[in-house]
Amino acid sequence: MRYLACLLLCLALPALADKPLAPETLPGITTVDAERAVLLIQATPQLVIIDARLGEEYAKGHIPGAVSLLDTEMSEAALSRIAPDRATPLLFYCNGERCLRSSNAAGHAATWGYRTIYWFRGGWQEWLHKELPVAR
Amino acid sequence: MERISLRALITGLLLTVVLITVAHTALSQYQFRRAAVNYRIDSMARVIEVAALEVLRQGRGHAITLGSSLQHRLHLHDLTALPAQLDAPFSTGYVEAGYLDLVALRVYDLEMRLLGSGGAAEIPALPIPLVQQMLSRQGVERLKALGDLWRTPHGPRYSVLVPVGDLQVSGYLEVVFNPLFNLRKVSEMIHMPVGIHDAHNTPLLPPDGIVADDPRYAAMEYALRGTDGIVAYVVAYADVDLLYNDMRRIQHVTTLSFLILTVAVLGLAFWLLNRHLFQPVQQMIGQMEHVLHHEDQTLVTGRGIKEVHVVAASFNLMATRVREIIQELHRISAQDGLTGIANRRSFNQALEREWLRAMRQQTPLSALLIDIDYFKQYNDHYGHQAGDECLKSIASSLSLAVLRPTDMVARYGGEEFVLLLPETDRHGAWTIAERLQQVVNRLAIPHAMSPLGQVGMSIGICTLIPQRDQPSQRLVACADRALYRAKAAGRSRIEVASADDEAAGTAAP
Repeated sequence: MRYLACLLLCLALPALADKPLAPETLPGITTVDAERAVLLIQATPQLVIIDARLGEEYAKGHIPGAVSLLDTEMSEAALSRIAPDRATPLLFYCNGERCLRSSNAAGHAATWGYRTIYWFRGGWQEWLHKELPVAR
Repeated sequence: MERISLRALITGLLLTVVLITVAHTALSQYQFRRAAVNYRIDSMARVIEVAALEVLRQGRGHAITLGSSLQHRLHLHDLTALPAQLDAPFSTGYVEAGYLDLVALRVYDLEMRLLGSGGAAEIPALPIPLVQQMLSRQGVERLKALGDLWRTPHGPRYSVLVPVGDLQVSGYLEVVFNPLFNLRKVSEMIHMPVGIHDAHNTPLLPPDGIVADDPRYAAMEYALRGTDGIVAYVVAYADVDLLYNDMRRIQHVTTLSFLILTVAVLGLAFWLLNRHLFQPVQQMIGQMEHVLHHEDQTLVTGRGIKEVHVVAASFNLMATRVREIIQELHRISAQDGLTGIANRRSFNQALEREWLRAMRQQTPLSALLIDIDYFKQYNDHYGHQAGDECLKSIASSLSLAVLRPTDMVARYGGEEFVLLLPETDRHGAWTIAERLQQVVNRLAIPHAMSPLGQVGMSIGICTLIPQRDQPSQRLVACADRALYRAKAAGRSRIEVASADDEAAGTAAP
């Protein structure tokens, strides 16, 4: 039994060494992929796109129209300056599925009363991979 | 013709086997080497493919980045300003130096109609498949960058089309670059000289320090495909020695150990054969020859493998049989068939022997020639059967009467007997002759046709001391003359050779 535990631990170690994956879905928040995100941006002029990554990452390239707001610096007041109306639709993204910033930020936004929140789970990685337009 | 020996035959066979083995080893090692090099070349071709695709992917990434940053400054509605805007990166030296060999920039509207261009003027229109692919895209797909390799008269080109106007696409910007600039880096990635040529074998990028068809290098080719077919070939040149270097040691060790094993097994085989087959057979042959050429009772001793033992035992059995037969034949040839005493032939041999001995020792040698009187008449009267019986009984009486082992009784002719008496003088011979007559008289074989009424005999005695250059037959001839005189004098008598008889002995009897 002890050996089995050791074995399981050994097998689990490489997985633990990797960064954890972001959750598949968030409660009350719509998860979108790159194509859905583009359609959403094109169809919703009042949509606020929030890049939850570091400032320098945003500077190197971001989704056209996005604003930079690091998740740890995002307070209710800071978000309210960008989107005063709680009915304003929000789209969060960060680096990709191993990045927890956007899910974290989207969760906060939901608790603060924003009603329409979209979460682009694939993030910047998926955007680049699909060779979609980049703004800088 | 010299017959081949067992040792030569087996040695030859073993050496042939070794030669075949060595040849097979050499051939298989050569084939192994070729197969190994071929296998490595195949796997290296995969490496080239991966490297070539990777550098092109990097170039494409740089082109997309460049296109994305340039498209912000373009004003598609102002066609007069466009050429200057598109020329600006070339005239102001704005090219992301070190990443791309930028050739041209072109702008299209959403229906892929050319609006303006900058940079190299002689770039032909995009290949139709690529344009069709652009036009066939729908929805979000139209925002994604699209690009591929294609052929121009000036060599291969890589074009990337990025949307102008970010997500609100109003047209496309085409970034054209020369992929050779990027493909040059394949050589650094795989640490091998790399050359590039087009489909007509025209070199586009010559390999560093390699002449064509250099046997030291194995060429590995990978075809780069674009939207309109094969655009170019990437050829990497692998140093065959380098490819094979690490395998060479393994190959040498295996070959060497195999050869050592072969030689060891061969040595062991030869040692065993020599010990258990060659030497025993050789020894047996030597002993057989000894047995054949010598009269002694030696036999062959079997050694080594079973077959040698069997052959030796059979030979011994046969040799013993042959010896017995020879002894029997000797006995038969020396014996008189009827009477069982020595025959004339063995008498002659004994005479020759004793004659020479007497000559050497200068001792007297006597011969008694005995003839049965009226034997013809006896035969005629009593029949041959009785004649034979008579001869037999007289012969056995004579041989019983001779006491000394050196004396010899032999049947000389039909009814003639002879006695050879070494070292016996005339007097001794006379005594023996008298005794013989008494013995025969005592037999008292009736003979109706004889004046005596029984079988009697006449004896001629001759005694000689042999001299040099005298033949042995002289003794018999001399005794014969004495016998003749005994018969002439009335039979049943003993006559001693006179001096005349002795002198006349040279005449044939």
